[in-house]
Amino acid sequence: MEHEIARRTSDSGADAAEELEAEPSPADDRDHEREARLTRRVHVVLGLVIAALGAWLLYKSRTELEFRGANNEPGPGYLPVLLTICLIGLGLALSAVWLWGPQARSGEAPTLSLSVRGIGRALLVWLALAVCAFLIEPLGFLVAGEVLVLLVIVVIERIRSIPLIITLVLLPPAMYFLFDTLLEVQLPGGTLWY
Amino acid sequence: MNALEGLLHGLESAITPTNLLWLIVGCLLGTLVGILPGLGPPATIAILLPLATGFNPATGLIMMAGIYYGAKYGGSTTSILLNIPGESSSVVTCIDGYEMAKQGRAGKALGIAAIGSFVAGTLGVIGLTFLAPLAADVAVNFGPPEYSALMVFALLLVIMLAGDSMLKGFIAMFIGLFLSTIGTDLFSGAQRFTGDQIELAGGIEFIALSVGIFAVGEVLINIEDKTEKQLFKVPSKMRELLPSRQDIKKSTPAMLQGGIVGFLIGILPGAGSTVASFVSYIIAKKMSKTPEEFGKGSIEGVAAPEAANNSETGGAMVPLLTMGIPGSGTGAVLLGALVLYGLNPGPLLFHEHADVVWPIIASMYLGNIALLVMNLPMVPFFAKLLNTPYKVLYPAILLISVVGVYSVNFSIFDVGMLVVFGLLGYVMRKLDIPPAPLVLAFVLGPIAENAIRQSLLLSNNSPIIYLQRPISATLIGLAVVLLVVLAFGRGRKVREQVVEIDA
Repeated sequence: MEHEIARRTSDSGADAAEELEAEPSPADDRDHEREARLTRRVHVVLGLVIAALGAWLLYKSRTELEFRGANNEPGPGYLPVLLTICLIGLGLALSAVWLWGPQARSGEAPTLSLSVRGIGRALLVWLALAVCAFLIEPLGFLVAGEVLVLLVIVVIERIRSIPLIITLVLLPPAMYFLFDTLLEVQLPGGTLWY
Repeated sequence: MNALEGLLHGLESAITPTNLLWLIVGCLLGTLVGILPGLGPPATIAILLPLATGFNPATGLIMMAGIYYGAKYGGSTTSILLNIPGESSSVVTCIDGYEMAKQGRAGKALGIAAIGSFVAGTLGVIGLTFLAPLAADVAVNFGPPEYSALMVFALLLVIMLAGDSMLKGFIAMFIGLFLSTIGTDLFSGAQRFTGDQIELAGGIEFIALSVGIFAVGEVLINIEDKTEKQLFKVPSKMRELLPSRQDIKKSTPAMLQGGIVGFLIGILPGAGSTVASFVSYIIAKKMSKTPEEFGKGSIEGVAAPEAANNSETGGAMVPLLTMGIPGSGTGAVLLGALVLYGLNPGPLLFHEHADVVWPIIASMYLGNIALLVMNLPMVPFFAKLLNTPYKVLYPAILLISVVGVYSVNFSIFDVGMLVVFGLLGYVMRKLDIPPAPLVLAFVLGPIAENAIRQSLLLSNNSPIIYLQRPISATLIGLAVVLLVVLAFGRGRKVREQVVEIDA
């Protein structure tokens, strides 16, 4: 270790700067600790959610589906019951590992990347897709596709480049031509118009 | 007529200018349609079937062989470039293929997929030519207990795709298995977890689930960071767009083992190509000198599943031609085409219609060659598509996903499922839960459940049946060994890591 420190101090200025960059600062350590705590909490909650979901599905499987058939053969609830029991066990195991596991407690376990800004942007795109899917039936593929593209241009990416805007606006009609006209895969025309 | 004579006769009949022309047209059309997500080989063949039925049986079936090989290659193109698996067997290709694309090695991945498909496809057809009668005998001995054991073994192999956390791999696998139970129970007719939705009576549509989890989930992860640049780097030099000699040398063992594994598993009716592709992926990882590269853009990780996926075609033709059992959706469409031509697949087909069967087998050789000759030059063109700025590419991926999912059943409900599974795919990635075990378990689940319940029906609920039959007992034994290796192998790795940290 001493040798390592000695080697580092004898490095050139640029190299030393790089080394300093590579070495975690106290602020980095705090960030890592915060991320590790958050990751641990998320995993504990995730395990409990999986176990709770498993328990609810187990309840539904037991009450709505027969575990055994008329001749004592495996019924429609046979596999769901076994699977949901396993899910409960796995969910609880996940929580336990992240609550009491040595790696999670010492902060050595890999952390999750959970930036609020990034997640917000992803959810915005997902919402645009959901709006498009919701509008396909009443407005048809062409209009719903244009709504998705416009949401991307105006709200999500705020694109100013005219060639990019033209390319994006032409996407839905190009796909409509390819699938509906050339391949005869009938795309929804919109119940509002037809 | 022995196999060699039959094959020579078949080649003689197949190599006519007309047949070759339609073979090339079939290959081209198959690639172009197969490249569209949601349109895997069965859908592509079904769409283009009316074109092929206008010809005499030999020419029509030769064209369909071209369509089939083209569609298979088209499916791997979208898996590698856009992380959109056209069908379940392409899921494994996504793992390393898409990683390679992200690293600017899409051309190499596409090239090795074409070469691997050619090498293994040829192995599969050679197997079909010479081993068909023998292989058919083995396949006949596969009853429900053997299938149950095979599926248990296959599901345990799925866990090997789990990445760092085996626990999360198991969670993903069990969620996939549970999702596969949704729909009508085939044994009792009971509706399971359908919530009175008629659209769920047939179960969750695979394309909606896989495209949602893989393609939409990946898009949502990629757009988290606003970037003006394109997402993927694409080399400008032509030489860097194709696999080097070293890449081919490194991938050769994976291609050969994929070819053999694909053929053997393809003989078994069921989820042949899916099981084949990921079993060969696991074997390639175990055999590789650089297993740590798997999952991070390993060229062998593309070569092995693509090889298995293609040689499975030869294997799947064995039960189709000798017993009339279609092993997959594509097999079912091909069976329909054979019946349409007035041919009844079965043990007598080789004797009664040798004039048609051998040209079909010969056309599979030719289809492989046509695929390589036509698709390898197209690789740089496909790879250059990734030069498109991501802000244009991702709305296109989303729209293509919507169209692809809708076109399977013409169902808006499926598009809604795509949106739901897109969010699930994103959440899984954020929480570091591997999506591949979920998707593969979803495919294998119904086969496993049917086989297990049939076996228990046969044995009056006694699980001893699995140990009484040699094939299933062997497979169960292998599964137990695998489980022990998985548990203790991981345990050792974790222990080693702890020791390193302590030191």
